[in-house]
Amino acid sequence: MVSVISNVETGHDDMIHDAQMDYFGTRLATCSSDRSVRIFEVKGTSQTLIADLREHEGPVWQVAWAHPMYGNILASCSYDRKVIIWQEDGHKWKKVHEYANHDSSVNSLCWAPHEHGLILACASADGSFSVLTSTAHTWESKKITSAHSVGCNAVSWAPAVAPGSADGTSRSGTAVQRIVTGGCDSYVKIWKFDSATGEWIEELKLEGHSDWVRDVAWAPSIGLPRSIIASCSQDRRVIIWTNDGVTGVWQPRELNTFDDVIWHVSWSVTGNILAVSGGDNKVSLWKESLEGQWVCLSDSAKGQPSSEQRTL
Amino acid sequence: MSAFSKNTSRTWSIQDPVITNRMHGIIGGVSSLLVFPHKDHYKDDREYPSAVEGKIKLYQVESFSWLWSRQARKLINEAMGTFISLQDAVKEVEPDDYKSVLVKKCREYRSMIQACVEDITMCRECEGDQEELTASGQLLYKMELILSLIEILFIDKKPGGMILGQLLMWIRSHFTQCIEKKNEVMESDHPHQHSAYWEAVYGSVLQGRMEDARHMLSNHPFADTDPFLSIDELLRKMPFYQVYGGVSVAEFTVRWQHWQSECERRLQEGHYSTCHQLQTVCKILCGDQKTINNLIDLMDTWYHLMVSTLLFTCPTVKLFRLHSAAQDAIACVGGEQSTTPLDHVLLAAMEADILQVIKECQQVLDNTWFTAHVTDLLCHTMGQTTDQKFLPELRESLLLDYVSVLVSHCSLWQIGILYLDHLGPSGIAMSQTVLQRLPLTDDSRAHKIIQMASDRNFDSVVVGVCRVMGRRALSQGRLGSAIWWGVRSRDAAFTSHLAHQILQKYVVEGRFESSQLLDDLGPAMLLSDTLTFLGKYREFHMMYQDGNFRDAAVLLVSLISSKLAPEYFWPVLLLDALPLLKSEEPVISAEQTYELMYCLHNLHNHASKRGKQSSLENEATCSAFLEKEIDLRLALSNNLARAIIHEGSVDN
Repeated sequence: MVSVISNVETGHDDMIHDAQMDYFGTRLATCSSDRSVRIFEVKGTSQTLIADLREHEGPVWQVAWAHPMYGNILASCSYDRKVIIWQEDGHKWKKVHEYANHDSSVNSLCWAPHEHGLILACASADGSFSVLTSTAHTWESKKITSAHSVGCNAVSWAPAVAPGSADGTSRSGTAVQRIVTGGCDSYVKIWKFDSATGEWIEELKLEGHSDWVRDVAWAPSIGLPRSIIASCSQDRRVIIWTNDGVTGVWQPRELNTFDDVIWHVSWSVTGNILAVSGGDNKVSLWKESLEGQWVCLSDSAKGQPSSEQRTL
Repeated sequence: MSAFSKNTSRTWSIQDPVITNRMHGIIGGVSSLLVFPHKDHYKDDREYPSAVEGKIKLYQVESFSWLWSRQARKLINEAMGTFISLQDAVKEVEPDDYKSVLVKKCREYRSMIQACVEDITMCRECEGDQEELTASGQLLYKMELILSLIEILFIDKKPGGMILGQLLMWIRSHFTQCIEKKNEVMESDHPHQHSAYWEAVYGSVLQGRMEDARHMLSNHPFADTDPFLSIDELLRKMPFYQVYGGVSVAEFTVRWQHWQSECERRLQEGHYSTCHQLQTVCKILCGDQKTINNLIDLMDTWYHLMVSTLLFTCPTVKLFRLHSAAQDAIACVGGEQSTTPLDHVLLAAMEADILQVIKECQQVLDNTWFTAHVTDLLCHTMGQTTDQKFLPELRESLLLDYVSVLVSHCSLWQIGILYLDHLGPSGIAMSQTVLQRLPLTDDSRAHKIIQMASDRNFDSVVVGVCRVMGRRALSQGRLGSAIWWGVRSRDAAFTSHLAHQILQKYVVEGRFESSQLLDDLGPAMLLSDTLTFLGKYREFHMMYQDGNFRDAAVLLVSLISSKLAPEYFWPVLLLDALPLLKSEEPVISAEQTYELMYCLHNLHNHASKRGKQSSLENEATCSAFLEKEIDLRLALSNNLARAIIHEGSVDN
């Protein structure tokens, strides 16, 4: 029931660490241990390389596309402790900003919902995370130190849904800005921007994992008042944290204990399917059933497809 | 619809030696999965040396559905029409007509499935993967079979709960072999010698097609003999219950029992001892289970067997007794071991277990086209009963699943959006997400999306699309178009930025980009100060071109004195004043002249201040202006003199 619709010869000389489709699914950005970031134009099943960006001096861990209403902007983070923001001008991609205020590898980055403005959060192995805000002519940065001891591995923004507009009909600019981070201290932390003081404050510390948290992903809003965060860890578990939006309590539910470390969790755009990939060499898709259970839809794995054939 | 796709298992594998070592998967776009080779990176440890053999490939994986096939397209479109009209109809219809609306809609779905089967049959004659087409056809046939049973058991319930008549129709329309056989036999030269003659007779009797059976028997050479006349009478006199036939159930039961005891009497008295085939017919009429069971080959399935058995043993059977009859029939054909998923669905329906029906279907189909529409029908049918609380939630969930398949398709997304209008808050949220993520390939696509978004009051989507289009137009250097989109998105900062760009371009080139568009701005120009200035400045140009110098002068001076103009544009404005100052008739008053002089003074101060620290290009602009400054000062003082004299004389 799945099919590979295309395969891209990425031209990277080393393993790929991240691949992201842009907002419309028409462009693909990849980054690799070979220190490069590559951008492809995707048309149907064919891809054309349109940029090969080489400014990083170490493996590039992640790439992220900004909302197209700010132009064609891509951010990348690397082992070289830098975050680079790239922009397409005419048909040329060039570096428009470099942020090098971290003391160690920058592991993860995520753009804020466009409603908040052009804002980027990045998480570093130095235990801190930064929030970079684009103003008229420059980028302002705010570094939140000692967010996670030993290191901060992942960062993800909450969707911009203003309180009291759960149906999403009036997404307003007044929505509270929130970020979730995951770190080597095995915690998942939720941070809230206090607009009065202009500071990011730790709102909650979610304890559930017993080893390094590898990735966190805040689910897109699907029209319900509740919020969902997925986190995965070295402890081979994926936890779904759900806040019903009424009690304000984050209820953990273990998705599954896997055979190996789980590296990555990502939500579908419509927010109801979670993709989990880890060291067991499988990518599995999960969906919440009406009874509130998380069930596996399918795996994409190395191995022979089973011969089980079901017909009506 | 697993029957259509080659990879049905839940696990799908990718054959690539490089990916074997480590695989990573990320959701990309609305519905695809990006899978690529990956290595454990201990991000904060040292850099890992790596040895990669082979090319690093990235795979884009998408769920493949039968819905993408060409044959399904019509089904998708028509189902949408029926779905939407159903949602509207149930809101407006009187309670009394509620059921008939649902039955009508159910039949619409059935007939579109049948049409699709016919299309596929046509296709098979000319093209395509025969195996796959055959499988599609069979699957659709089965869907229709299930849907019509659901219609009988859940939607089109008859008063008194009598269902056999409908079940018989259901069997007749789905098992037509006996009719085909009959036609074949009757077309032969000597029907009674045809090998299938008696099979066709039995088949017709088992489906209650007594007229057909009598027709065949009357063509037998011995039709005039007593046994044939006797069986003809029994066939002719068999009572059938009709819901609206004016006969009560009790009265019918009496008549029916009377008729069957007559059959039994004739059988026992040996009326048919000379002809064992007629004896078999009579045994069927008597409801002899063994005889009916032995004819299973003519019925193919347990449900045909069940209906035929009930026809001659319990014609007034009610829904709640159907389950045990079904179990008996299944036992007859080999028990549970030999049942297929289709059997499970039908059995669940006969047990009146809606949830089970949907579950069973869902497990074997690769998309929710069928279950979503069925659940929608059932949800509306059962809307009033309280014990089916799960239905609305299940309906929404299955429909959302169906829509999420549609919206990932480049042309079916519009249909998806129409469904989402009827799916509550989740539908609205998905609708907004989808509309924002559609690739804006060109202006007309953008307009279409904006239209759909504004029809639904999705202001944020409209603004978002306009901003993206504005940004794109700017990056392509189409400033006029960018302004237009900027105005539509009510983005003051962006339009200011664009207005500045247009003004700066004017300073350099001396002409306007997309002047037509700027002239038509109207009240929209009030969005930002710079845009207002730009619009007003265009008005000044128009007046000047029309020779309306006096008004043009008033506007120009007000533009200069209002400080709306960005500073870099002041020289332009002052130079624009030059011809007006030199005009034969004085059009600039003394007071206005003072304004201009004040402005020039300021500009001079600024320019000389900046001259010390500015960049080269600024210097060039400044020096160009300074050259004209003398000219301008002269014109100003001349005009002032003229204006004072003129104003003085007019006053007098």
